[in-house]
Amino acid sequence: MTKTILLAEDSESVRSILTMTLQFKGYHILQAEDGQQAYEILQNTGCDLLIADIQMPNMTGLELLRKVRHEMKNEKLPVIICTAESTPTQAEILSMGANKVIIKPFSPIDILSIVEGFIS
Amino acid sequence: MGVEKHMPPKMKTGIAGLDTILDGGFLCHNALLLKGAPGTGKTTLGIQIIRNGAALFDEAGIIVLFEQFPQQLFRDLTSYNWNIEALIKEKKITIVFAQPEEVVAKENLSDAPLISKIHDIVVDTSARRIMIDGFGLFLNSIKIRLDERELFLRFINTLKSIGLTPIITTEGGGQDDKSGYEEYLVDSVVILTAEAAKDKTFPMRFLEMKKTRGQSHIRGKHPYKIGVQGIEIFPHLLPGRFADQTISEFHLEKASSGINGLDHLLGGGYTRGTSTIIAGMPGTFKTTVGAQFLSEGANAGENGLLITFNENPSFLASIMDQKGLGFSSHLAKGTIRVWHFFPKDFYMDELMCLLAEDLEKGKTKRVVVDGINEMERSIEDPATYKDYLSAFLTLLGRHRIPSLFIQKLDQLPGSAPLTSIKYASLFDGIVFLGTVEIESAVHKVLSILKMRGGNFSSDLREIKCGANGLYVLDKFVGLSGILAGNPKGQYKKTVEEIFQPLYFLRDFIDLMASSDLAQEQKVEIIKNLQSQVAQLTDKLTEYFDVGKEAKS
Repeated sequence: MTKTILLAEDSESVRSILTMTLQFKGYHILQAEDGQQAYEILQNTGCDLLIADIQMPNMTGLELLRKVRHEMKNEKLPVIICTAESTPTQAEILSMGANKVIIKPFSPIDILSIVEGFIS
Repeated sequence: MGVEKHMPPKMKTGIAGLDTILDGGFLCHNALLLKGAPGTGKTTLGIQIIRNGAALFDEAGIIVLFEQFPQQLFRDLTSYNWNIEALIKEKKITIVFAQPEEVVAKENLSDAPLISKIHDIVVDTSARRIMIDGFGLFLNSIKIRLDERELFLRFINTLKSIGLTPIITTEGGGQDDKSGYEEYLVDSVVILTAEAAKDKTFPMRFLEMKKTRGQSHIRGKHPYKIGVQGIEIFPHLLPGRFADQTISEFHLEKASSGINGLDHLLGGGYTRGTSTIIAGMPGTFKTTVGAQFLSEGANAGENGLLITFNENPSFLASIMDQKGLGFSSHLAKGTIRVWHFFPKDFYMDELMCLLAEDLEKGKTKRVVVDGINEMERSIEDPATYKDYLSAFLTLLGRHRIPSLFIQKLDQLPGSAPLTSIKYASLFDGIVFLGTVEIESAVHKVLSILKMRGGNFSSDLREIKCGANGLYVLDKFVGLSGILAGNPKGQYKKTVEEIFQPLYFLRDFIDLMASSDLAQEQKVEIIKNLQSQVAQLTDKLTEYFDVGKEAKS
């Protein structure tokens, strides 16, 4: 069965790269331009894995993560957080409930193996 | 049963500032010496005390002049709104033009013609106050015959014994002045000085109580001005003056800033009774932040006061009207008032006295001072400015007035912004306003650096001016180092739009080279690589403005 990945990323460039990379392995991709859109998709549709940038307008990736874990009470959904900044630290982000932290610029091929680790 | 403390009666001078300094006036029958160099206003002050006694307190007075001719005196007095002639006609004031020989006519001073004359006037008019002007001439006339110290003492004691409170003027009182015996023989000594000031359009005049026997007074040099009402004195009010008038209850009640989005950052608004610095470089909406705060208050029924040392009020109003703040309408209704001072034309104590009087009436609910830099220029001795500011803030706090003080910065505050803001420690809050260049566009930004007693957000936000004044936008995503003038927001964009596509190209070219991919997959990858190369080329062309010359 085709797995669905939700991409919450405000950068069009990064969104298209991740989409091309993940589609290459046959994943179904849902795209959101900010945290708010992603939250609405999660409430309506659902997905097998979430990849979220931290710094996005309207709702940050960390706020989205908090809502998933605390409001939606969804502990099972794997969440990968992407960031270009050094703060907050990876340990801090993991302590908020993320399963993995990826620093930009990342290797798309590495992303594939990380995603496979969660939803293969 | 307790013993009631009897307070000796006081002679009000009718000069508000002086009566404040003396906690109600001089003690009755205490001899008062007014000492100062020529031109300091000794005679004016003496006559004003006599005039006020007659006009305000129904106490008749006598003015004894050795130096002046009647015509000269009346000419000088007509410059004041005192209406002395009417008081003379009503016998509330009697002027005596004395000759020195009238003082020394006989060995026994009580028989001297001047004393007899004064005695007759007291019987006739029930005079309670007497001013002797030109004491120097008096001395010159008597020292030939008798010991001047003893004569002076007997003279003032005689005046006291017939129910008068003597006020005597004499020259001296400058920095090199050595106290004469007369200072020891009187009960109170007032020193008047006038000094040329490098930064003022008028001489700095100060009154100082050197001695007040039997009563206390506010210490310090109290500035005064001479105008059409005579002498106006501004008591020097330092923080200690308000220390015994602390607020019994303190609530963290908020006053809205009037700026959409800012109240949220402030934790609900500015706290009443606290003072906040609005700091920023020129052209960063500092004055507008202040004006919007006042407009918001005026709309909600809270009258505001703008104390400005910069803009002309009507010019300021028209600028603020353009920004949708309805400033002119508030000025016309009196819901916002503007006090416009020129830094070189006022005393800080003068401003403090005016403000204390205004706040006492209880109508003013918000105050904005524009700006703190210019106000500093009104101080002759910069070392005392912090004391003045501290007193100013205590006064506002005591009346629970939320206040904004605008501070102009000459440069960006850098990585330690609080250290670049003057007098930061005296204030409860600091709001920073600045500009930042992002991708060739200048954005105005706002950040709260300090806010005592509240949950505030220190997010850096963009601030814009629309049809209804200022409003605060979302926080800048990915920017850092703005206060230091070195925004690093480009980093995130560069990573995402340049390096991330390059990493994609690298990985997928490697994949193509090292894997046995199906033809179909290769076609798809090549299509994606071509798409990324095209996008990357566009981005780099835009970033570096490549081909601009060819286009132009």
